[in-house]
Amino acid sequence: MSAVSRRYARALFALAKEAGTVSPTAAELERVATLAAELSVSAVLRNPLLSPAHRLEFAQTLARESAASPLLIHFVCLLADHQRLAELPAIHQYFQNLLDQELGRVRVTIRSPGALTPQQQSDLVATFTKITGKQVIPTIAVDPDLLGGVVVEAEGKVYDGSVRTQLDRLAKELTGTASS
Amino acid sequence: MTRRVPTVVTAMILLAHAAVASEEAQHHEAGIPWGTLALSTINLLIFLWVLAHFAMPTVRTWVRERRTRVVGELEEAAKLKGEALQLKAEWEARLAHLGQTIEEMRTQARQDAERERERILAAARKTAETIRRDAERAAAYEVRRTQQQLRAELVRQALRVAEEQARAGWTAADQARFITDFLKQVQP
Repeated sequence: MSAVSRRYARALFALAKEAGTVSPTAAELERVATLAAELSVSAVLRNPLLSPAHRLEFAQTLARESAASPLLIHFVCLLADHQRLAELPAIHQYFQNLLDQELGRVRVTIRSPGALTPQQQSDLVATFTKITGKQVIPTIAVDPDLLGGVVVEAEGKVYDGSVRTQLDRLAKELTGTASS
Repeated sequence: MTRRVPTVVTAMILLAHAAVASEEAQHHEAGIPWGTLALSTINLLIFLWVLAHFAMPTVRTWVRERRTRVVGELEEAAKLKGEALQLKAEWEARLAHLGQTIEEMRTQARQDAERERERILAAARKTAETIRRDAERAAAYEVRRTQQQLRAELVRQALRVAEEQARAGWTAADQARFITDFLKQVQP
């Protein structure tokens, strides 16, 4: 995530907060960013041959198609004007972070080799609520390569309890002993 | 003066010849030939005078020079003889100590050879030690490298087996136990 996208996200967040529309703006931004991230749209946004007028028109269409508010339409037009439309997904991601911070939430990714039981999920959420001191919004993902156990990513930290990592660590220790 | 001398000599010779001629004319007469005798005497005197006046300085000079040369040669010979005698004495002295000198030279040569031998041996020992150390180091490195490779291979195999077993035999109970342990570990 670039410093530029963070700067734009902070500006939009400040304006949305001022207008009292942080959550709706976040939802609109998510729709616009999802559209912008689509391969065909992304290719158009990154095309250097696109004239400024066409880029602006394309941005307005993109925002309207997402049923965006005037604030977001203006924001997208500004991005088009500054040739920063390609930054939309990153801006959305940082906007979400700001929103989560504002609402005292934290997004946590939980990866396991198979599906977790509801009990296991609630135990993990409860534990990470305690660790972060914030409301946890979990994203569950299945990763068979982990072999067993679980990996949790929260607030930029990785809590690794997978069999894969333990085996890797064991291999490193054994080969490390061999080299000493 | 110099011009006068040959003139006088010439005149005396002519007179002598005239006297001899007149004497020969009167020879067949009787008695002692006084004229001939006188002329012979004058001739002799002239001859002696000529010899004394012209030949003697040259002969004297030659004799003097010869004497000087002979003296010089004698002195040179004496000098050379002295040098030869001195050289002879030196060589006699050397010959007298020749045995000792040869022994000293032999001893010196033996000592030099011994020193050189020690030096060469020390250098050879050092080189051999270096080669041995390098060889040991190379062998140790090879052993270590092979051990590492073997261990790495063993670890790879063990991991592969462990992975296969984990994939095949991983149960819900195992997963539950792992999650419980994980939660205990990350508890604040």
